[in-house]
Amino acid sequence: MKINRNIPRMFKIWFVIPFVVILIAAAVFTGYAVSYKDVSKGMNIGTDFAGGSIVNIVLGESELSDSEKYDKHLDTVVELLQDDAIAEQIVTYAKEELNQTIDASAVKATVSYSQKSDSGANMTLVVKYDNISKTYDPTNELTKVRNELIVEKLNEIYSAENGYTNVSVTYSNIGATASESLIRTAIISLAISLAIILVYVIVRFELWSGLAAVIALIHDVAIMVALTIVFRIQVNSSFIAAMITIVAYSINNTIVIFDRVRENIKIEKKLNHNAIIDNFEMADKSTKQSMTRTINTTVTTMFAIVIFAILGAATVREFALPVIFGLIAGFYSSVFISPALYALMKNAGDTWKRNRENKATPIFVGQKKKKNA
Amino acid sequence: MIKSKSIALPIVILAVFSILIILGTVFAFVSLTDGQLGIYNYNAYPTCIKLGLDLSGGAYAVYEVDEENLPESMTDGENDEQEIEMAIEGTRASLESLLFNKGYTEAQVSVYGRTIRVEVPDVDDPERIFELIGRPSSLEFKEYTDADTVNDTLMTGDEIAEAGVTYNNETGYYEVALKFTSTGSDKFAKITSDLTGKYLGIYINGEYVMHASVGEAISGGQASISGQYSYDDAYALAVQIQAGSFPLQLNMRESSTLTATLGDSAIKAGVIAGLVGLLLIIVYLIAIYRLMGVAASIALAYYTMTYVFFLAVFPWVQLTLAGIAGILLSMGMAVDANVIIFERIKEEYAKGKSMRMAVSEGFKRSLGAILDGNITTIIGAVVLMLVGASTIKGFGITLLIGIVLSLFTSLLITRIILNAIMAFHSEKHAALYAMKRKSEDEEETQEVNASAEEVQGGATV
Repeated sequence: MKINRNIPRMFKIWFVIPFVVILIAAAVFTGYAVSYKDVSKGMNIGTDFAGGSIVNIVLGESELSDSEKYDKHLDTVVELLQDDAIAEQIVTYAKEELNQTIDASAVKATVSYSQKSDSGANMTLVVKYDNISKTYDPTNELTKVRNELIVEKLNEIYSAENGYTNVSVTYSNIGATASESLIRTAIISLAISLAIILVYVIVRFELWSGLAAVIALIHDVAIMVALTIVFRIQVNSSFIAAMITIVAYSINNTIVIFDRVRENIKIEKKLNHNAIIDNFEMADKSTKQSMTRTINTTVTTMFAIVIFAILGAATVREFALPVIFGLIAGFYSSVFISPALYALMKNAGDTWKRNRENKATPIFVGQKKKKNA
Repeated sequence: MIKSKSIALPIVILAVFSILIILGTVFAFVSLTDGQLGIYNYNAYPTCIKLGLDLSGGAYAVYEVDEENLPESMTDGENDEQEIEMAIEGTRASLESLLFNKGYTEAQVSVYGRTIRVEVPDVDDPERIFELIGRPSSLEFKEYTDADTVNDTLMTGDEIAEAGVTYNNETGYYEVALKFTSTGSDKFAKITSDLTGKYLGIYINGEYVMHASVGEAISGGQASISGQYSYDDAYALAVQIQAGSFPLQLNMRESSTLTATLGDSAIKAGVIAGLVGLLLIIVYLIAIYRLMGVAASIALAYYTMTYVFFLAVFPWVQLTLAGIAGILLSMGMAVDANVIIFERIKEEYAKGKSMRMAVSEGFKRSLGAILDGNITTIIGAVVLMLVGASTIKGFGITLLIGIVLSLFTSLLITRIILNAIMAFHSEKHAALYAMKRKSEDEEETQEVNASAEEVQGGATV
């Protein structure tokens, strides 16, 4: 592979692209937030973070162990959650009792998952779905009204008249399983990891490599989040795990290139003593020398996860896609961002150092000037 | 000259690795049960990996805050609601750490109003721990003078961070090991220093359990309760004591089983993606690196099997969807070190070194990059294990096992196998290893490019 242009020197192009991606994400975020009149709708946040409601229908093993029947019962619930008549009733309730206007689309719920509970005659269909957004429903009153309407409707459907006996329907509320403290510790541990990685890279390499590597990592996570927003992928607690995975793996790419820079500088210093090292040249050479490896590793890492995303159901894809975004961002940052950042910062640092050294001998400079004058 | 060298050892090495991989593959897919092995059963080791809630289901329990036994400060009419809310959050955190310590690394705890809902994967009889948590024990330390006198309480179990089970070799019984919080440790040190030369008694639910003479102030923040406990008794007591240290007491309202939310289809997709991915990586590696690729592929197969085996054996691992994706990614990353090494070997050979020299030089020169890259990843994993909560902790452990294993296979096993394969070939077979001398044209253009860029670079600086 021959690219004759100096990659890091074209940094203006490379730095603009991520900003464009982030701007698009910001636009999508704002677009959804404005159209729903709700900031939390800017991102597709799952019930792990937001909490939700569950409806339990005790149907017994005979109705639930057969997957066809199971799907039929699940569909019944799904239809009710999207039912226009129920939505209309809630909108009316909000207007009359709470003096509040709310859009019908905001009160319809989507199912996050379904499962079975208990066994035998007590086997229960459990369906979890999201609550009405806190923006419209701070006290959860509307959610409660909706849940009661749904239970009432389900009781009608599963009544003796329709041939069902002893079917009981209840609902309950579930808090967020990804608690604030979980998210907080996740962010804290990410921050601590980044700090220790920064120190390690500074010790093993140099200050500018450390800064460039950590900025690249932050870039990777930012792009991952941005693309997740753009594609409206539902974010659940596994997203935290995906973010951590990307940070852990992406640092490798950058380190390998910086290792090359370290080595090339050593060779350069041996060959030309006291020569001013062109940092862009060093960064470019090292990036190109490691290019085959960077591409090969990205390809081998992509294979299995891409197949997983293709084969898996929606939930699997929700997790796999952000990881794939992260891998792409990691490849991009290690080739286009971190070497350029390193060269830019190192050049600035070198210039600053030279200026300071010159200033450190003012008498000499002054004397020289006088003589000239 | 290479031919004259003995090829007996390389043959043995290759044979051993082939047999290991064949055995590993067979035992990954075959189970021997129903008397095929006499009284023993063997289950294919990948099926022994414990699965998280999303993949295999488990059990749930809903607890209610015991409103009748609220601490005084929460019923005095001053900021009661806020105090209760904070106490519920504290109870939730304590519950999470209790479940994690007792092996339920993928437990999920959620709070709604005054109820706490707990879901745990189906490992180690979850209904039992649910029940124990609902029957907390209060622990008290008092001075012990004689069997009839009950002295004032010096310290309660509120300041216990963790209660676990240990085995006492001398007595042959199990004990409950207590670890205090930092304020608890100070308190305990003060009590024991005051009681030096006297007896300290332990009371559970107001009843005398044991006493011990205090030799000196105990400052390590640890103590143990030795009764003549069986493992089950000690385990139950440990859980109950830890539940007793929660800021609020909980009553269990309901509990039952739960099925998986993702289940078999996700696992199937994971297994297929893993196998096909593995195959693609192997094809890709061999296409690019020829026989070096073969060595890396054998090491990769070995890595995958060992990783899956470790995941089945380690007690903290409960595989979730994120875990499956982690394994899939780790296979790609496991060959990363080999890719770095092989690129280096090719470079060294291109510069004019002999095959063998190029290989040893390639391994040596890439070690720095590989170690630095992996140590940064290990830092990340260790921080997750130490700082992260419950599921994040478990994820850190899975990540760490993978990195350490991949370092081992890609640095050591690949090298052993590569050397063994190379024993069959001489310098003229370099093409079989995708090694190529730098052609003269290439050398020239590269030099021209380099000098051109140098001039350009010089001009801008």
